[in-house]
Formats: sequence, structure tokens, C-alpha cells
Amino acid sequence: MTPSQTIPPARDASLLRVEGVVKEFEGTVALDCVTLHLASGESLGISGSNGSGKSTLVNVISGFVRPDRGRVWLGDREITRWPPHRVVRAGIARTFQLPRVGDRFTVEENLRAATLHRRLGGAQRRQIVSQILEMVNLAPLREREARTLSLGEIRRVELGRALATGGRVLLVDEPFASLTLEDAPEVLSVLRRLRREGRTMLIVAHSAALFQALCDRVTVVEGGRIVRDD
Amino acid sequence: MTILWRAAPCLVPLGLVFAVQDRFALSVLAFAAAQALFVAGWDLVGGASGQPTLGHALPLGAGAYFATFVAGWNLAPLPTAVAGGALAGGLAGALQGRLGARLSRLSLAVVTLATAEAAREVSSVFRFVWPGGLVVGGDSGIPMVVYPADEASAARLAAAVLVVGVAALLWIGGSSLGLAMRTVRADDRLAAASGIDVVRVRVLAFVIAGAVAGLAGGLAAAMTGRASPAMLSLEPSLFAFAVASIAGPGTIVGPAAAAYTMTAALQWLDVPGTIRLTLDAALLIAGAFGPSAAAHLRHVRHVSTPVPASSAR
Repeated sequence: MTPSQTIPPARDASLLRVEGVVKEFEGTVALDCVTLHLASGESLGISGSNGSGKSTLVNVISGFVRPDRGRVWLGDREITRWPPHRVVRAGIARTFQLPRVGDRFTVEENLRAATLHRRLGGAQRRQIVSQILEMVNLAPLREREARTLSLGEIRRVELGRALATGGRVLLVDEPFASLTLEDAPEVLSVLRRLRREGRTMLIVAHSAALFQALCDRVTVVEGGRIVRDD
Repeated sequence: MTILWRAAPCLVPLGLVFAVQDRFALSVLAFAAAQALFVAGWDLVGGASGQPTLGHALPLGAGAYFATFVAGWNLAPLPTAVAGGALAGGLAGALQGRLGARLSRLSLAVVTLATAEAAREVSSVFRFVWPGGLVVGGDSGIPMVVYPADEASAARLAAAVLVVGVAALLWIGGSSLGLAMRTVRADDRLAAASGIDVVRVRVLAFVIAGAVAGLAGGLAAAMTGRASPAMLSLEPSLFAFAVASIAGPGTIVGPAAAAYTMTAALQWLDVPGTIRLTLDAALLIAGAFGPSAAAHLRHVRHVSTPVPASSAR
């Protein structure tokens, strides 16, 4: 029995379940029968070396990569092979390892674009965007174009964008990658705040210290398999 | 209020048609307004939503042929036939949008060009027996009763349609749909991660731009009294692409104003088709090195870079 097979999917309590997911890229196994679960309000850290399959796992859950086998569930809905925008609308938001923002958009426009799929009135939409801007400490920069921001600020725009989708589950892919010592604490502070608020999060990162600060438990992925689940 | 302010430059054509008395000048201004509307439509799909179509002549021609058919068979009054061109153009746009929604920008340009060229070939081959026993179609196209009958009315109608059309496009550009289009243009993965249905937004952009082009086509056919295969040729699409690339892609008003001015000048000087194509090519080259288009193209190149499998992992 492989370590990944030893983790039982907690069908009743889990908000997000990944069951036996397999993904190969041109003969290279990126994910090998990965099974994990995430309870509502839980913060799960995913650790592993470069190329271990962490980001592929995030891509599979968020619909950007279709698994060869296995299933992904959000609550009682199977979302396997759903296109990414449907996954977002179902309630799973994500950030990217290489941050993606509309670099010619203002900070506010980046967040507003993520609310478009929600049925909101104009005033309600503006209120939500303002609240999120406060939450990610970007309110003073709301009119600035994203291309003029530091990487740390862009990471926070991405977090804000993910929150603006209204997702119940937040997938955060390498939030501290390439950040300077000045930028990292701001991002950490936002993630800490989200954890305090009881957000359901799956955070991909390298540092054990960060996991201690942000996660309830940590799953280690190596060679596309889950090798440890604390 | 902002939209009205941004649409204000389009009031210039409206003022001009009331100031000018010369019949030739009025007919030039009428054609320029129809062409400017066509280019403004292109800018929504090519500039705002980042889908550089080379087949925008298809909805233009569809609108023109629809108007001639409806008017020729007396299926509706002339104004309705002209307005109905928007419906035909929208349908043609929907077809192009569906075909190109999942393609790269280069493939989209080629596929849309192919649809327009195929339609041009078909329209130049088929002939019909028209009411009264007249055989029409082929290279000479299909005749239509000229509407409006005098140059001043035609120029005023075209200028009014241009103002309303550009204002509507600006409103769309500033709406939630416009923001979704710009997000898709910026980065389709970002758009998908924002919950935007990328395919739907792309097709919608084609439908709206196609409807605008179809209206321009219906108007052009009514004013010139003919729909012909030339309307489906590469030249109108290339002109729209070229003009938008130098006049601020995605701004709607910039490309519309540039198209209006250039078309009026070319018509006034009676520049032949071969020289126009050369001019379009020169504009495209200039646009590629110009500040606004260069920034646009750099951006396009950046987001078109596929994510390597290793980094996706």
C-alpha cells in the first residue's frame, strides 16, 4: 500500500476532496494516485521539492490541468474536469506561482474583474471590492496600475482577486516565491488574517516555519506522491 | 457622462454633414461614416478583446447582402432592411467567434480571413433571378434601391448611426462585459481564474462587433445601391486592423476617428484599390513600431507564451 493510499477520504467532513488523482506529462508522472482532503475552515500546507507535483495538484483542483484519472469533489459536487471558470464559480479560488494580474489594470479593476461572475448590484460590488482592498492592505493603492507595484503588492493583488471571486476554498500557490524581506511580512500578515478568519486554505510553499505560522497540518509531496501527512 | 464626453469627437461628423452643401462631399462623408462604424466594431473585437480578426469583412458583407435581399424581395421597409443587416452581421460574427474562440491569435486571424474569403468566392459565383426576371449576383453583386435617396439625408443618417454606434460601443467597453473582454485580452488564464467564461466573452465580442459591421454593411449597400463581393474582400478587414493599430487599439473612438478621416481623404482623392492595400500594409508596419501598438503587441507576446510543463508542475 502506498502512503497516498493510506489517507482515507473523510467523505462527510471534507469541503474539498481529491481522490486517487493521476497526471502524466509526456510520460513523466507528475501526480501518482494523490488523495487528500480539506475540512471547512482548515488550512493545509503542501510541501515538497521543486517538480514534486505541488503546483500540478493545484492546477488539477482548479481545473487548469485535467487529470488522467481520479476525482475532485467540492462538498457533494464532483468538479473533476470542469473548466477553470466553473471551478471558480463553484467556490474554489486560486493564486499562481508566477503571479498573474492585469498589469495595465488598476488594483481595483483587478479585483472588480473577479467579481463579474457574481450577481451583485453596483453598490454591493464596490463595497465588496473596498472591503477586500482593506483586507489585503491595498486600499491606498487602489488607483495604481498593477505594473507599477512591487512583487509583494502584486501577490496581495492576487490574493485580493482570489477573495473577490467569493470562493469558499483558497488555493495559494507559492505565495512567498521571489519576495524580498520587505515584501514577505505583508503577505504573511494577510494570510495570517485569513487563517484567523477561518478561511479554508491550501497553501503550497517550501518553508516549514511558514507552515507552522499558517497551517493546521502539512502534507509532503515527493515524486508526485504524498509521502507524509501530519 | 464619461461615455458622452468620450463620444464627443463623433459629433464632428454630425456637425460636418450639416455644414457641407456639396453633393460629392456629402457622399464622401456618408461613406466615411459607414467605414468608421465598421472599424469601431473591429476595435471592440480586435482591440478591446484582443482577437485580431482578418475576416471582419464577413459580417460587413453579410449585412450588405441581407439588406439587399430583404429590400429586393420587399420583405420589409428599407430602413428595416438596413437595420436588419446588424442581425445578419451578428450571426456571421457568432460563427467566426465560435470557430476562433479556442485558437491562438495568429490562427484566429487566418481562420477568420478564410471565412470571409470563402464567402467572397461563393458570392462571386452564385447568381439569382431577381423579382422582375433580372439575373443578379456574381462579381457585379446585387442591386438595391438607393436609400436615403439624396446625399444630404444619406450623410446625416450615416453620421447619426455612427454617433449612436460609437456611443454604444463605448458603453459596452466601460461595462462589466468590457472589463471581462479586457481581462481576457490581458491574460486568458487570469480571466479564467477570475471566474470569467473566456470562450463566451470572446464569442460575445464577435457577435457585437459583427452586428455593428453588419449595420455598417447594410448602410453602405443602401447608400451605394449595391452589395458586391468586394465588400467581403481582404481590404476592409486589413484597413480596420491597420487603422486600429496606429490609432490606439481598444479605445474605439481613436480607430473610428482615424478611419473616418482616412476614408474621407482616400475617397476625396479617389485613390485606387491597389494603392489602398499598399497604404494599409504601410500602416500596419508603422503601427507595429508605434508606441501604442508596440506596447499592445509586446503585451500580446508576453501572455501568449505557453507555460512550460516543468513550471506547471
